[in-house]
Amino acid sequence: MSDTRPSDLEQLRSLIRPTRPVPAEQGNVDLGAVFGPLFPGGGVRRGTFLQVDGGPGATSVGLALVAEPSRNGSWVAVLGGTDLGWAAAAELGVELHHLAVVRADSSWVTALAALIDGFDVVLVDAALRPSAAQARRLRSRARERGVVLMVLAPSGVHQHHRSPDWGGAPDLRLVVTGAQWEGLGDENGWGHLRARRLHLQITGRRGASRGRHVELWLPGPRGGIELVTSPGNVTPLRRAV
Amino acid sequence: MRSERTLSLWCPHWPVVCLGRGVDTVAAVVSSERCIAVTPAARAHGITVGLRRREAQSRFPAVELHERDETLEGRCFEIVLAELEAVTARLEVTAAGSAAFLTRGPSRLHGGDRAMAELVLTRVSAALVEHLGDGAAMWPIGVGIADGPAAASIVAREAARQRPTAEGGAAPPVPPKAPPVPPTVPPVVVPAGATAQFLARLPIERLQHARGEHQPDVVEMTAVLRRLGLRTIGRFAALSTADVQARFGALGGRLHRLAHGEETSGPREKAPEADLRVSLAVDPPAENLDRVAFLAKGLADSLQAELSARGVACTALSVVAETDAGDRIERRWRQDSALDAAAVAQRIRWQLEGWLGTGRTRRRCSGGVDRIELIPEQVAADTGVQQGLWGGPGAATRRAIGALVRVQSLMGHDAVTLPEPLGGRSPSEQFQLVPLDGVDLTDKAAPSPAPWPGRVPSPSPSRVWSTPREVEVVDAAGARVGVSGRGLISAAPHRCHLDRRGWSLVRAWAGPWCVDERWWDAIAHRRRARLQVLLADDEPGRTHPSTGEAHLLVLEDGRWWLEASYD
Repeated sequence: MSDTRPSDLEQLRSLIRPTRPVPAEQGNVDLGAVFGPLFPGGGVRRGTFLQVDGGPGATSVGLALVAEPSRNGSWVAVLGGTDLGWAAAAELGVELHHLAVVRADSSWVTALAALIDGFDVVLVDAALRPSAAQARRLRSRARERGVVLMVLAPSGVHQHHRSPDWGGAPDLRLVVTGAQWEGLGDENGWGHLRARRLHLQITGRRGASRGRHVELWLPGPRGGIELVTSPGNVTPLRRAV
Repeated sequence: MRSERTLSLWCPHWPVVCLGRGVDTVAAVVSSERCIAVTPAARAHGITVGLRRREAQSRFPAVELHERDETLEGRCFEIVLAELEAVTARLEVTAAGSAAFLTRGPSRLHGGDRAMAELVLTRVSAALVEHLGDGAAMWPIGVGIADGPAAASIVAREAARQRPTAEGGAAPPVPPKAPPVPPTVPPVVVPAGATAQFLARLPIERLQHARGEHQPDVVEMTAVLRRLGLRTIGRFAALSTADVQARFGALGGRLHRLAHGEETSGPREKAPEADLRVSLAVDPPAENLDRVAFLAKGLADSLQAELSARGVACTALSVVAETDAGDRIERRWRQDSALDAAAVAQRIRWQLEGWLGTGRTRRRCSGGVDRIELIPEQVAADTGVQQGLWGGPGAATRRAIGALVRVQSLMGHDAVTLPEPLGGRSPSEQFQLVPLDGVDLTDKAAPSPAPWPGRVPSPSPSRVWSTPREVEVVDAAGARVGVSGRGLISAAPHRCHLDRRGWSLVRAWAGPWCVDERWWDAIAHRRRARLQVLLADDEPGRTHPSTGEAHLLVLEDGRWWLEASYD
């Protein structure tokens, strides 16, 4: 192996910053006692692309999903979520010391690529719409790096009603199909919002294509997230919007 | 452990020295928002180690702040180590900035301890000036010789503390081609057997330097000893061993032995019981640094796996590399916290970089590397917990901060924020988004929740609108709902007009929560009333009867605003 033009080679080498490749860790992201068993395979694989949308409650579901990873030491980045309620996030168990919020502007795609390099979970607001090529690149990069990319697309007042399009179906999709709040009285302003029963439908590309329906307390009567165990009335589910 | 005469070399403020700045510039090196090294000029302005970035800037706005670059520090230290290797064959490196070697052979060769120390000092100073520029000339380098590595490192730090003398002392003749070396601090040579006397007059805090970096338990112990009146090492050494052991336990016993000038090993360190060395034959011999570094990384991983299987972690490791021409380099790397595979690979890279040469640096060996061997010299039980100096950030945090810094450079300083709890009654006041620089990432204390009477009870809303939108709330008769001065609502809210979707029916509501804030301040006085509303569904006939949105509305000055939503 002869050294032809070693000085040029050295110059080039010094120009290229050596970046240590982050090993794409195999395995699942632990989602905690409540969400973990809901997914096929017992958790969410690193590198999954998730979409959370549906009726009122989607934001809370998105925050609740990142609670356990943030408690376990993974860092969570939120791109564009300047309207999120952090008190609610803290109540759902999110470790705010491991969470960063990045404002989104015209160069958000580059910022998202940089965030994928450093974070374990990235939440993106659905108002940010990438082109097809950008979406493909970002998704494959997240898959390589083992980063869970989540698009939060709640529908409701002030939300964007166009469904997010990130180059194909998401690996996992959670749709809120119904919600019942408890705690308000019948008249005179009695009580306050205390707990909510959410109906969630989880579909995915592999293995869960038929979809699972789950009923959760989010937030539960004691503040956290619980599975609904008491046999309530069998309520008809609303079709996903 | 036997006490063998050891020479220890210590370059204080090594991260700043690597930058190539002079002693007079005000500069500091920052790692995860805290200063880890400062120039003496910066210290004169009040910038000390441990300060946060913003505090340093507030004390001297023009201070130059540099991010810590461990690779640069390691590489620059190779310059120093290359000079040391001309004197001795076997080196021990503790951290970038600190090195030691046994003096028995080299001292005889160069005519005594003092002569050898001065030679080392001259050569190292000249090498630093040559590679880092004239700015590196005035940095003190401490060289100390004593019985045993721990005592030698204390002596070296004492040497670095001396004031530089006007004349350079009896320096050996400098080679004529080299530039004149400016005066530096003279080396301190403690005669054999006189270590205990030398240590006796030093303040007790110097014992912290015996093993290199500060260890929290040693720091605490010396603070206790000082409070008990044992202000110098000599006074501490004068106590009886049995008393010290009984009162202070194993750590006190170790420090007591150190105070007597006897060597001790670390608390849990021992030589590995089985032969854990791993080696790799490189065939064909490689001259390319990257290839060798890549192979060495694999070797480091296999060593790590071997050690983890036995439940131990390595604290001192010898790295040996041989070429097919017969050259051999051997160096011992020490670290107080355990060396993981990445750290080992990094050190191997530094070691081979100077030796194999990268094209800009001279090659110091001939031929290609054909064998690499890793020999763990000291192992400790692997507790799995590695604390940095400031209870420091783990690898995940460092990666995240690196990504955030890149995003900041892309999108501006205030684009990256972290939520910090403030405390308040309204949802928008409870947390604020603080830019990255203003957040203390190492501060783990969670603020205790203070009572805020008048707060809407939890659960809190998951969407807090940064710009509240004006809405309309009317009762069954069509009149706007109001709240009286006594907190009584005028009528039950019947419909809401929230956004372009038009009017929604209110299925249930709760409140009002009235808050009269800052009544004493004419400008900041705010009277507000909050209401929780649960809206009926858009299409009441067709869909699930209980699905609906919940919102938090606030009335101020007779107008209703949508403050937050329970999404």
